[in-house]
Amino acid sequence: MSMREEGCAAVIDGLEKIGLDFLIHIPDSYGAPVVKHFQDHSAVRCFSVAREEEGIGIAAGLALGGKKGVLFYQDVGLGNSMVALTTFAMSYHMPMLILAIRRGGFGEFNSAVHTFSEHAIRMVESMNIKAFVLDYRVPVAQWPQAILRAHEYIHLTHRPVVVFLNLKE
Amino acid sequence: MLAQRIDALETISREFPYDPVVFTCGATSREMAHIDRRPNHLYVVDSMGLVSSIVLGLSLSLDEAPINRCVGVEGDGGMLMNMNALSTIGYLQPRKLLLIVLDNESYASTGGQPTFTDKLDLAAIAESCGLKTWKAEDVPGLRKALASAVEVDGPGFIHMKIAPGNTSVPLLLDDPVTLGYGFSMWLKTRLAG
Repeated sequence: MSMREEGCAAVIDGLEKIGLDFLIHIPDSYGAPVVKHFQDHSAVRCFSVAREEEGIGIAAGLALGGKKGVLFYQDVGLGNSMVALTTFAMSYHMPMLILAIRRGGFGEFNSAVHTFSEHAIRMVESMNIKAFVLDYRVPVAQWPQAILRAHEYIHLTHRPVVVFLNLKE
Repeated sequence: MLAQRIDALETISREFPYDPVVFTCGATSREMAHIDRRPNHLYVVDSMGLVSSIVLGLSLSLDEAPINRCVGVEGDGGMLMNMNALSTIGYLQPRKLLLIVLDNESYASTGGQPTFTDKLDLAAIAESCGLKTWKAEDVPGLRKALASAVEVDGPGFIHMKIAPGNTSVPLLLDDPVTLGYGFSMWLKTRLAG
């Protein structure tokens, strides 16, 4: 099984454990199997947004209404998200889980994108947003539990949390 | 003669005393909080453009709840900043969503610099995205549009031209976390019935 297949299966397992109501995404080739799984899911509404900050607003509205929404997009989208994340999600204490697919890190081929993505984790942490990283350093078997714990953490801290996922080979 | 923003806000607030209403940043939230502060109001003191997305999330989450409408009050500048929200709303068709854009053709909170809306028709754009639209140019027209909009399933969009400028009111200096918590507690109580 490839890293992409193994990683996506683990992400699906983790999200199933959460029991999410909505998956809000912007497509990514590595994360496509996760989106496909929830598009076919009878209990989850899965839809894309045009820009990531829009997703932050929607996820905040879902949280206010008591529903579980998870955001799933590339880490470059965190750049678009940062004002909404800080001035609304952080400032108003909105619990929100973001799964950010790594464009930087081992396996990244695109020189332009890693100019941003190599700094994405530090950027998030510099705004005091909690970040966890799931990559080659964490056995894939532990990813589902890590995603579940990250979801618990958003409610314990009343804040957004970003889980970075490296699904590349 | 075009209405002042504060008069439009008062009308909207009176129309929705028991439904969630989310207000955009700057003078809109300040004026609303000054004249008729209510627990069902969520004042978004920054995050320009995000109201339409927040109210979309609320509408999706409260689709089966005993809430009639989830209302967002946005300005023309904010709507232009997050115009893609209209396409998402149009695609998802949240039936309880009502977005009201108070359009003074300017960034009034920052000194009145012009937006594009003297040439763009925001209602036509919303309609092309699949929202049901109404137009108003004065407070009686707004009342009429609101009365029509709550009679049918949404998503609805009311476009109201208002006079430029702001009413002089105090700044809204509350810690955002208290604004969010107060609204959240009101909503929980409201849903508990």
